[in-house]
Amino acid sequence: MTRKLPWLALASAFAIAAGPARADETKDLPSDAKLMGEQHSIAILSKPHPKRLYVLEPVFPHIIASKVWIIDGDKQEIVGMTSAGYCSNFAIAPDSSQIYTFDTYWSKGTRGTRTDLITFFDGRTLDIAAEVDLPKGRMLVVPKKQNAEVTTDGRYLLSYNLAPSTSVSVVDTKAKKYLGEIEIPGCGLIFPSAGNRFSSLCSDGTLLTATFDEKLKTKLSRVGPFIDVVNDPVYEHAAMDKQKGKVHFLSYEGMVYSADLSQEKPSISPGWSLLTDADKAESWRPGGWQVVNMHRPTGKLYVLMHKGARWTHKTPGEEVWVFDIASKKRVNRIHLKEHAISIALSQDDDPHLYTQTETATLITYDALSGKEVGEMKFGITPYLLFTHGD
Amino acid sequence: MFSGLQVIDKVFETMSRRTAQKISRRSFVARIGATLAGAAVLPVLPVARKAQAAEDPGVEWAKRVEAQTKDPRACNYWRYCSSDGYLCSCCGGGPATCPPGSTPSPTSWVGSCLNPDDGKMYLIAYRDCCGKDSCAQCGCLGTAGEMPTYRPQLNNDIIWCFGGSSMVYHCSSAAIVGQI
Repeated sequence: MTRKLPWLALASAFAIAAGPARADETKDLPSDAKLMGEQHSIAILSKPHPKRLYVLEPVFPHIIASKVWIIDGDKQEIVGMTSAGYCSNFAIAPDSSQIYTFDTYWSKGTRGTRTDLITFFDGRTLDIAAEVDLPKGRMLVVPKKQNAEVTTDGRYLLSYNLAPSTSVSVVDTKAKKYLGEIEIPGCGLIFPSAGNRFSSLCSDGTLLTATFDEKLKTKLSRVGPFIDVVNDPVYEHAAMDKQKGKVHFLSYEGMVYSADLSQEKPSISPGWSLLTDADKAESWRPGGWQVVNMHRPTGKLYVLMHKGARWTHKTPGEEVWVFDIASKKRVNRIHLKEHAISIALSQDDDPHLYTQTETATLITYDALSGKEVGEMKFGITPYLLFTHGD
Repeated sequence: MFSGLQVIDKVFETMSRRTAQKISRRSFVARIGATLAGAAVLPVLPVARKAQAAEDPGVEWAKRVEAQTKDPRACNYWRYCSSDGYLCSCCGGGPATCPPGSTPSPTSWVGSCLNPDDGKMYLIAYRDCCGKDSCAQCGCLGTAGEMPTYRPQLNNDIIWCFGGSSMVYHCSSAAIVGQI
């Protein structure tokens, strides 16, 4: 039997190369072999659940080939992966029935004809459901969640573009069709707050809100400036409750600005500081990549914190501080086993706090007690975390 | 840990130096300038930074990392005060040389760095070398004065190969423009 194995492997290889037609491997068996007949199946993801986690990895050492890892946070195991393109972005349909990668490819790897597109994947099989070209391209940048989004009803996909004037490309998920661009002069990023509305942060510290119809006829409204954009800008990542149209922006120096985007003209509350005088004396600051997130059911804000000087806004966090948004009070400090660049939360009653470290380790904590739940190591440079119902 | 790529960190060299540049760069800068002008925002110019040299993030960086002038393959080489990405010096090129087969972006951004040997400030042009997959050697991250992407001319995460033959990022270089 042992001597026969290479032939079996070769026969299998031919079977794959030949497509659906199956080679008769049994003819390579000795005549007296007992047939087992095991056939390959293809796994399908379970129904989405709150502890389903998606991890976007830009794969910096091989930047033309991003990946999305799919993790079961309860079981602490990989349940799937999908390939993506150069500096890809990622978004999930509100019900996780589909997932989307926003990709750029060249026909010959690093050269040839450039193609920008959104790839639709079935959320259970990970089969490609559609591809829609983005004829105006997409902004190429180390991925941030707000570069690519889906409207709160799942109808439209929105892709931030800098070419070099700033705009948002709109794709209809129903018709699987590119509709055009919405110009957002002087602004960037996408914070969706309704089925036909999103807001963007602007270089002068204002917030621009675009409300559009099916033909992309758009109304723009601008509020602010609400931040001192020169001295203390807000991060690109924010804590969001999209279905309620609420966004909590966080500044480099620890100020929180809560915006109500549920109307065509948003309102933004005055800022409040995460930091007491004692915290400031110890040089505590926010820092990391996906630096802030929230647990919506309890209205808690989670922030990656470290001790550091000004302009250390990308320094990984050594602790996660938890704040009650309503009372603006800190309610917990979670000491991290390993410094983290990104955090996310499951949106259920016993939430997980997911932390991504610089050493490609995903460490999961109980978001209420701060106790470690598990640790997984995968990929090379996993970076952004998305949870079901995010 | 490699975090950001290239980019428009600091100010466009074209805007600050008014040196002769290729049309493509001028065009891009003019257009992005127009875009930002709509929001009535002007980038921080090197002249402004020079006036504030004592508080310059580049000076602070040089002190914090103990900047040196001998080893261009180390993250604390003095020219890299605003560099972000894989060092071309580790990839077959040099601080101002693209590795074989890659091409420098016609666009650049600038930072002002302290040379610890002479104690003087120099304007450095950061240019991406483009056209190949990421070099993946010597990833260095600097964030002094770095801003979010909605202020793109000051952000160091954006792929800064605009105006060149390829938008594929390979590595980061740093050429001395002059003493300031």
